[in-house]
Amino acid sequence: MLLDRLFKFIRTEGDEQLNPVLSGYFCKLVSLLISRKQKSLVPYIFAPGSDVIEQMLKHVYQKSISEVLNKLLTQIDSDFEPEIMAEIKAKQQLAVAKLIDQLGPDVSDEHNLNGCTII
Amino acid sequence: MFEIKEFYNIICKRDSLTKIVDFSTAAFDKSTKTSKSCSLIVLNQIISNHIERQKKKDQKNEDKAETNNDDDDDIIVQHNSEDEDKDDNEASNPNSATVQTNILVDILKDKVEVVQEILRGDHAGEKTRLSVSDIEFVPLGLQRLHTVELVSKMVQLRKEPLYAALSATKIFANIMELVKVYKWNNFLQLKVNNLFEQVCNNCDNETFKREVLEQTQIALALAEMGKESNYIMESERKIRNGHMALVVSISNMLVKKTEAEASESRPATADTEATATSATDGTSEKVVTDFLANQAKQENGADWKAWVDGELKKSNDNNKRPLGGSVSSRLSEEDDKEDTNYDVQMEKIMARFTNFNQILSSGGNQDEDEDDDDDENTQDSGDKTDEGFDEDDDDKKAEDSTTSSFGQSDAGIKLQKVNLIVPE
Repeated sequence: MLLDRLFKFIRTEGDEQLNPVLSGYFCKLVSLLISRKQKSLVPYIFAPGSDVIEQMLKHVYQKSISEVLNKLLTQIDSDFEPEIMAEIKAKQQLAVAKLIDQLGPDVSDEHNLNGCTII
Repeated sequence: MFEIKEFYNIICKRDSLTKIVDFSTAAFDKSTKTSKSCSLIVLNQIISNHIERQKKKDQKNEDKAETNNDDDDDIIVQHNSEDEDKDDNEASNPNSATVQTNILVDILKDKVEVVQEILRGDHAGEKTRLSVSDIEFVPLGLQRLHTVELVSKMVQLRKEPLYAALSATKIFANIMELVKVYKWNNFLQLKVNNLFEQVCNNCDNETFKREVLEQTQIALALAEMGKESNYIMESERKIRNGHMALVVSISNMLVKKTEAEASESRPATADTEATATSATDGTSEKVVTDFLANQAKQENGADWKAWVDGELKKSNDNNKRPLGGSVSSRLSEEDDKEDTNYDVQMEKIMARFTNFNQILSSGGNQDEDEDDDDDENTQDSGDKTDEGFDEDDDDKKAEDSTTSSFGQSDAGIKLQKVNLIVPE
């Protein structure tokens, strides 16, 4: 599936960091999908077994990723099926809790700054 | 995220708030600078949001009270019972503004002592120096700057437990110390100015207000700083000291407050009926006046008076002096006036325009009378002549006024009787 190939970019192993330039392209593409193909994208991202939000939270030190994450959390329509809506809510709660953790001293300055910007 | 209610409710949960406050109030030499400043920014934003919500709620209550006053007694009883029900719901609803504010206050009041420690002016750290002098010092840092803002927001929350906790520590004395140490930090000065404005003008707890004034020994501190009005550079050139704008601003605030308190207490003595009630109010509200009187009795008590009558007066006079021939505040006042009667202004402009058109169309043989025309067409004279101005009447008016006894155009000219003096 094409979305799998797209989001494979953020599924990194261990502490491997994303390339900032490629992250910019990724951000541009996902933003476009959010605005034009939300009906197909949202069920994929917020599917019960999906780890997209967790992976994005992991890479929040990249400004581009933090911008996409912000869009995914705040610019989602509310006319999806109840199961997906419940999943969206659960993931949003998880994301807020993790973003608050990103303000701590255990992570890098970029994590702090981008976490603060999203909140 | 603050704008979306669901997110805001998650952020305002006790666990989340505790984490944010813990990150914000980490000791000066612990944690990381970015973590502390970022979490302080978030915390200050949360408190600002609470203040906004509280203001809106107060405004709603005021509006309700006004509408209740206009209604019958039965309706008032009904409304009050509805309000009580709503309050009960608010108290039990974990997402209500009241509960969230109480949680925040509860967490913050336990951290006041830590905040006092952070705001000390003598922390050790990496030193730096200004470009104009060789004296090295530890920079103020974002943590202390945002923490001063946090204290200001805590005062703005207007919660008794916070007032009590703040009064019990030396937070305000420490902030005053920071002002003395960091004379050139304008960011700090803005925050401190805002803090004192909140304490003096927006705080309704007189005990807290008195405590802040006593703790900071504000009058003497200001007088002392006012003495150092000039900074002598290494080249022996004198420049205005960095803290002077703040010192002048707070001093003026205190002087104004004293005058306001004096004018408030005056009618209480004059009005015989209201004397009993308002006299007690008058004494309780004269916090600043009483404090300044007490300060005057102290060892350096004369310093405050000398500062107010000397350097402060001189500074205020200097600040009032027009720069480049115009005073900005006066200009803005005029603009405001013009904005308010915009329609009238438009009518005047139209009237002048038509008048000018008439003069142009009827020929220009009025060179001699030009000065008179100008005088008559000014705004002031327009006030009188433009009343009931109607564009439809223009042609008629023009016809009446365009021909004089000499067959020339007299448009826009006011005819007056002149008593000719006949030579004997």
